[in-house]
Amino acid sequence: MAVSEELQALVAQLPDADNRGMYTENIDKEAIEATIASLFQGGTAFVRGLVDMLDEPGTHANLKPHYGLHCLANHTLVLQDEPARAALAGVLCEKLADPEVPPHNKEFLCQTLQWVGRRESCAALGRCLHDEDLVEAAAMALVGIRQGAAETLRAVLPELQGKCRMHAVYALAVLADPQAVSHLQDALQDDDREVRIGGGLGLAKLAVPATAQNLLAAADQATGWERIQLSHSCFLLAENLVAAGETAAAVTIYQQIWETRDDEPHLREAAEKALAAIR
Amino acid sequence: MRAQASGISRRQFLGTAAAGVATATIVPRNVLGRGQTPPSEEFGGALIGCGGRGQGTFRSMGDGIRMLAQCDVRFVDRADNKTIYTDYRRVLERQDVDVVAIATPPGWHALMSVAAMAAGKDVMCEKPMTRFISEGRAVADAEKRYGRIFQICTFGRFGGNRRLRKIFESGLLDQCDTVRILRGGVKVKQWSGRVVFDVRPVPENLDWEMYCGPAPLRPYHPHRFGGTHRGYWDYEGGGLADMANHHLDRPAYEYGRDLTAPVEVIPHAPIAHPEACGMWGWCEMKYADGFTLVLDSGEWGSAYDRLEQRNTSEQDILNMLSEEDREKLDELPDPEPLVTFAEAIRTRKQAGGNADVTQRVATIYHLANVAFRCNRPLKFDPDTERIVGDDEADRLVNQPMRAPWVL
Repeated sequence: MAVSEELQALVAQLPDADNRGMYTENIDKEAIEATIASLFQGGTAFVRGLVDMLDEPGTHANLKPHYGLHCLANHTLVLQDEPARAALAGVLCEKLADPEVPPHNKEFLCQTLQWVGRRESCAALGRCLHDEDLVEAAAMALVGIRQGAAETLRAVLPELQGKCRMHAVYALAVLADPQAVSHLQDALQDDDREVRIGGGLGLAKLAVPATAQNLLAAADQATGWERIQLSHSCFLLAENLVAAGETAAAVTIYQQIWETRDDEPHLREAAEKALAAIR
Repeated sequence: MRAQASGISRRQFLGTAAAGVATATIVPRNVLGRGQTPPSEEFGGALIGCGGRGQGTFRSMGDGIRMLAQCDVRFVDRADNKTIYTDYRRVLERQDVDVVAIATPPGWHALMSVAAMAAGKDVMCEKPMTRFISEGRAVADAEKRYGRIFQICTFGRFGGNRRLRKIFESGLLDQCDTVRILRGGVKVKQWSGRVVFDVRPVPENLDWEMYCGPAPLRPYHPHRFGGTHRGYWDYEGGGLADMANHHLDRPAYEYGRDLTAPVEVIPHAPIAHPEACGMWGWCEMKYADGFTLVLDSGEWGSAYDRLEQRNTSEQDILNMLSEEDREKLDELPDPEPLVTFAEAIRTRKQAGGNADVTQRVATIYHLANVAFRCNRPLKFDPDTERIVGDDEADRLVNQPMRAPWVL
């Protein structure tokens, strides 16, 4: 798409890299902010134009539109201009579906949405979860946005495999969505060690008493790194159960760890202390 | 933080559970685990992150620690998984490793520290303790939960004025008009990232995926690696995050700024590049008790001139107390001398630079960096450790990690 001369002229006003390839010399805050304010006046047409101007990472051609788009996104937040922010996020979501935009630039759009995106951005990011090139950035963006992210992840998760599934499970785990219990219980039984660990952490954050025995059993059967991580999740679950007033379930977890971890004395000690604190 | 249905938060609960450890002075052998190593005997040690400061970080743990394992993402061509590793997870699985020195780029520090303590190891961690604010609470929680020793590898507080500390720790001073200004020494230009660079093939001996870890998997270029990583938001917060723990550790101890966090942050900086840490001028940080801390880089823009430094001496602070409160202060015991890591791993007393206080020190410079990136003043809640009334800035307090890395 052709980029207007007006936009190109404004972008050209943004700082050049110094002789070290950095932004450390001749960085004029007032001049940059004036340019960004002018870019802001161009509305969604300029946002589209900036995305179209993005180039290969690290190149001189990429530098100014990349920086300008980031500054423009932040500008809407500084102004607390929600309609402008929504419009900007909307263009970024639209561009995520544009086959003309290469994956490395779509990653940058996801990264920008992680910061400036809203509930309305989740659907477009959810579609990126199917794409191995974009799933990492899209999952991180969904975790950043939070609102509306869990329902998107839950809807997409059954369709995902391998790397894409793993990233979605971790995002769901971090978001601690109460409706994700069954998804995370499935993850705890997965063939992939990393998915099992992610499922365990998610269950720990959710603090549902009925999941305690599954998590304890998984931790007990695991070895090595997985055992360290799932045991850690057992402790997190117990602490979250105490915070939720489910003390009896927490006591069961601590008691079982205390009784069964003869070869892991630091865990026995931690369980013993926790039991004493509860009582 | 979760709803407190039981009236006790997870943080309060951990504090209660940890109290027994904090007061213990004699260690039962089984506390140490792994063959019940007696306190007088040698400890098994591992170093994760062997470049740069690595060997020095390991030595700072003190005598009587035998190096059993070294781990670095550059060891792809020489890892034997017996003494040389590329994957720290395999090091933490070892039962004979009692203490771990962590000297990787900071994006890894919290993940490795928490996992190490969950595996029963004590930790000496290079500064900064964390990459983002929320990570520090996870480290401090793990330290309490597992009764492990954690020490940050800066030691300014060990030479701190304990009489000054006593005033702030006593709780007798609820209002304070001190202004403390720290100028320079933060290597802003030195540790800035490149905004123009050549993408290169990943060297054969480097596990780049593991290096990036919880950060986005970026195209490789050498400036992102090997010390200059400090200039990239993905791994560290520029010269400020690199140097501020040195400059702040002692004053944070003396003025009790490691007991709480700022409530208001006013930055002065140009808008940063999204990936490269850039220039900044100064940051003014106000605490609920009236104390003001100013970081002035001296490397960009005009010097800070909004306030003059004032009322920083022990006598100045004492003068802020009523005569009655000064008498009460005299009756209180002096703070205990701080415990070194070497002593802590043998006595199980909490180390002087533990995760709880270091989290508060790290919050100062991480919060300044968040304000620089957002280009606007912020309000912060020291109790929840979240930014108030600015959801988008708050997203930089608890930044998402790339799976399978998570806290």
